[in-house]
Amino acid sequence: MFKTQVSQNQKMSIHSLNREGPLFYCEDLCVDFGELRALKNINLTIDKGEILFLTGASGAGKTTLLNVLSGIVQPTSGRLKRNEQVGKKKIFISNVFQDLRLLGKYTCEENLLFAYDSSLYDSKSEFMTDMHELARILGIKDRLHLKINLANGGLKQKVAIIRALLTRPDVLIADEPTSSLDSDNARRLFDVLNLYNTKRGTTIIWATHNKDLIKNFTGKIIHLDQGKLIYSGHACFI
Amino acid sequence: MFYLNQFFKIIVKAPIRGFFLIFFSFVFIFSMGQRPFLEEQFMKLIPENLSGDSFYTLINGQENYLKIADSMRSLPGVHKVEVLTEVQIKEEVKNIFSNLNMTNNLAQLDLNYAGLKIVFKKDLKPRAKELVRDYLTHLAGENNAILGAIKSVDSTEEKKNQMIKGIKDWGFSIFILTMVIFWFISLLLVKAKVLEAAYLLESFQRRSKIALKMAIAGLCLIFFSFSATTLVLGIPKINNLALTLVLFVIGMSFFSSKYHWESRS
Repeated sequence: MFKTQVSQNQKMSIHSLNREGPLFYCEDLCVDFGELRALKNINLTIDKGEILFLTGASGAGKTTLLNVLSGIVQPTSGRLKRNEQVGKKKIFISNVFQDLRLLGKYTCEENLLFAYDSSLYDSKSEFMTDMHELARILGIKDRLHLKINLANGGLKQKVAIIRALLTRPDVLIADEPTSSLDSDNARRLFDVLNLYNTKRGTTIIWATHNKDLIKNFTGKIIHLDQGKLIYSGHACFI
Repeated sequence: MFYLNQFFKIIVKAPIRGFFLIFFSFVFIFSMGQRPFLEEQFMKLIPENLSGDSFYTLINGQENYLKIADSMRSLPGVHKVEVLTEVQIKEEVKNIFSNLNMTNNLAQLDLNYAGLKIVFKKDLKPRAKELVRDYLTHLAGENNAILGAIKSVDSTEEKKNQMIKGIKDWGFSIFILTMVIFWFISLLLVKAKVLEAAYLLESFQRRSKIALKMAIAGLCLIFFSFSATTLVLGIPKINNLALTLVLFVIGMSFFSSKYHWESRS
């Protein structure tokens, strides 16, 4: 899977999209939950193929912003433009939810099979190869038969991440995906995501507390505080 | 095939819910398709005749009263014959003698009597009742039987009659209605699991309206395969099956609702 080169068509589609404009464009975006204003006048552009880290304390509005970008939450005011197409193909956004959304009575592998879309893979064995490869990299290959109810937090988190990656998404939106992982595992996960970004052009939007981890990576960072965007720049400057 | 496969995967993963859905679907479809046949079998389980008026009789203890009771049971107008216990007989004798103002002589009487309670079928004509009484006198001998007056059906029997009549008139319809309710409940239980899985499939695959498509595929297969099994008992009632199909379609429409994932710890 990772040896696969990005096809010429894929490269062209990324460029053509860039000519078409950003993937996400937010202008004075606000979200209210009752009387609480969760996001305040957010101005933001996210291009195709970008890695964006979203940082901030709990309650800063990270999850709300991710939900707005995913289309789960509608903005109360302001403008959100989402580029729905990549060339002729509709963009696909895959989420790693904070609550992971795994089925407890299913094994890890059965949960991963929810991502098997026959239109994306030549055969099921290709999907299984990808799945086992990702499981191997993240060190859970021998635990795929475990039921989610019996799995620890780290294993569940890795399953949720692998499931999202197996959908071969155009955009991966991950909400605190490393909260249950130690620094080694978190770093390994970042490496996998970087690879996806490089090889497949996947746009990665990643909410995290862990500033120490992201400062070594190239990518844009957005820092939120009480619903306001207070910093936007490169992660390496943090 | 994908949707059918997913539907039955969920049935296997939730075996209790799945079993109830399959079981109640089968009973529901079968009882609708073969209603006349099953209704006939159902009626056979219910007592055929309802009880009507009754009378008591005292028969000389030296007569073979059990044989007389059997002969009476074989009469077409008789619903049932009860042989009375000794206590019941004494009570009945007291009643008869007190009606005749003969209580003073009670102690001197020989109470070696057998007692029978003869219950007529409901709405038996008076002439037929007289014929039954005459036949009893004939069997026991005129001097060996004392017949009590005919009593109209008592309230307990009347309630029982009403209940049996109600069961005969509505029993099978109530049974089917109960099956429909249980079927809907089992469908709703499976629906929760289908919506959950469909939500994940929609989140992680480029597909839409998965729950509805799964329900259409799964319920259609259940409906048509179970409808086919009703052929075992002959040609099913097409109108009833069409009505069942309408209910299945209504059931399928439940699967078009939007699912909200609830976070669980």
